Amino acid sequence: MDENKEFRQVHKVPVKKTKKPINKKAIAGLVLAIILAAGCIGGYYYVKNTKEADYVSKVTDGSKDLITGDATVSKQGYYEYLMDGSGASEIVSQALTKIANKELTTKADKTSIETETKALEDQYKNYMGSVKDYAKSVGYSSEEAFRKATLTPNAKQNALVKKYLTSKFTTAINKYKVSYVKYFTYEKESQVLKAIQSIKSEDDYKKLAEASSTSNDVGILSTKSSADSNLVKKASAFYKMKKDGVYGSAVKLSTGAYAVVYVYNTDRAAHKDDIVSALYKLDKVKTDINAYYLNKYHFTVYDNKMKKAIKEISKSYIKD
Amino acid sequence: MNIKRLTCLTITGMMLLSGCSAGKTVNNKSVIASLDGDNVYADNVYSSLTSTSSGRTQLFNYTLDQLLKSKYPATKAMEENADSMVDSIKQSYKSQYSESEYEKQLEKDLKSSGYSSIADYRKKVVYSLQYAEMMKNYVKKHFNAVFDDYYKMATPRYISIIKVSMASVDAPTNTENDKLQEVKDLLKSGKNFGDIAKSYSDDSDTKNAKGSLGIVDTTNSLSDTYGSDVASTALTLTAGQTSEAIKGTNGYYFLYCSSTDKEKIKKELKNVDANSPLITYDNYMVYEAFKTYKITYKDKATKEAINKVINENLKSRAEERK
Repeated sequence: MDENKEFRQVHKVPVKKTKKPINKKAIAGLVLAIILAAGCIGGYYYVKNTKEADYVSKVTDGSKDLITGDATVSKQGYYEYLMDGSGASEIVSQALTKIANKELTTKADKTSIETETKALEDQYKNYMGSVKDYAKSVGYSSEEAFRKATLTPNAKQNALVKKYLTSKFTTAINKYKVSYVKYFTYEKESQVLKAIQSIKSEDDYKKLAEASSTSNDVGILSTKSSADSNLVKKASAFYKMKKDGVYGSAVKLSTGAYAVVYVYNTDRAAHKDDIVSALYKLDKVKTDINAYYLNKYHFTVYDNKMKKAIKEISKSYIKD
Repeated sequence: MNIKRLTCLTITGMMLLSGCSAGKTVNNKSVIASLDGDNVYADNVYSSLTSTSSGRTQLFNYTLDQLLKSKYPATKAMEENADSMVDSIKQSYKSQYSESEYEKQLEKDLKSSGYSSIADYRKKVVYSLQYAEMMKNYVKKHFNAVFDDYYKMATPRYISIIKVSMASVDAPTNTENDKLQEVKDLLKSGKNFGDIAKSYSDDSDTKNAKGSLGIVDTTNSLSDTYGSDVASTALTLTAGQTSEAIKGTNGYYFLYCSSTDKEKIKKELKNVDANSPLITYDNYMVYEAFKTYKITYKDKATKEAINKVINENLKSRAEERK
């Protein structure tokens, strides 16, 4: 209410103070200013003081009451409460499903969706015994409703990510600096350097690794991996190695130990399926790919509150 | 400027305003987001979010929020209480961290506890006080039934405690061991537990009250102060029983259960305030309380959604009591 009072004062005083006669032009300007300003202040007040006004988007029949009596619940109020909780992720999900529908059009894409559907079905069966029971446990009225609302959209979104990784494999491995690495450690850097000098083949590496009892086959390493952070920092250097072999420097791990790193399977294309599977499992990679598609299709969010919430999921989802 | 132009300007202004507040619409449907040639509609997002059990739970929670707002609005006392808690937290952080660091640390800790900011924390404190008020009202109106259930489910009893402090519990000094043995011997001799507590206990919170912890039930937070073994042992003692020495936080403890008398406990809990265990022991009580309000459903789907949430939770409550 104070805002309204302030508004009235601000607009009343200049009118009173003016010495010029108020002509029609001035009245017109004033009317326009009042309409705009009242709307803005009303909107501001509404935003500040009622939950309903935080969102610009409106559900149809939003003013309709769902509940009255000791509590009043409007449809718009309930909509906004839902939006506060999971609106951002739902909007992104619906957008990605729409993109998947546009991108996944070939026979191979359909097969990929079927594969992803089967994989999800297996997961649900593991949880609850059957897709139907799982659907029931999360509150859907039927298996069909669950498939339509959740299972199929998720399968499509997963297939979309895999399609990116498969069709843009070279871009992906270059972006995430993918390599196969294994290592063993010594306490001192000088021991590592001595070992590096002595390793001429993978067999040489294996012998020393077995003797050290600290060997660790990381497998696929990328800039988004959750392996030792110092090892991840070297992903770019490992990626530059085009032939299998020992990495030329000691890598000090976050534990303080020094690692002899061996990079293998450098013919990455020969291991495409495994690399795609490994990258697919990384949430950060999925986020990047989702951002790629959302940007490609000029994903635009009109509700500022939702825009902010979506940017909290990932800043890269929306380009301003 | 003629009236026609004035009207035109006014309409333009209204349109600008309406465009500002309504966002993008297509065929009278609100658009939240768009992609090239495609829209994400508010109605579709609503429909998707309401179709799950999570959506129904959210409907119940939102209705509860609205109920609290209308029947138990935040009072000045609640606001002051929340302010006082916020001040106390800030002071505590200020005493631990430098002026430049305390806000960052506080913000970090709040976020890890699920609060987006200190304002969010304050808001939730006020909400919890409103919630407590609602539950208090329910308990007062249904005191006998609630107490009977509480007595059965929360197993309240009067407990007293003696602490023998140790700098290192795993490596007590001879003096500490001697004191522990002396307390054991005194308990064995039949000397009154409260008298021993008053003379020997190292627990400054209870020593002067002859070791009395008052009523201890399943909602107790003894483990925070004394350790989890002390908390669990307290609930196993019968009236007149004294525990063995229990290894706990910074020492050994002895517990004594003086009474489990139902009427005595009932009398003490008759005055229901915000700290009463009767309003916190049962997480499902809110569904019973909710049912006592006048709720008019405007459509079948809403009624079914809310009733489903209530019935599922009350079913779980009933199973807990089998």
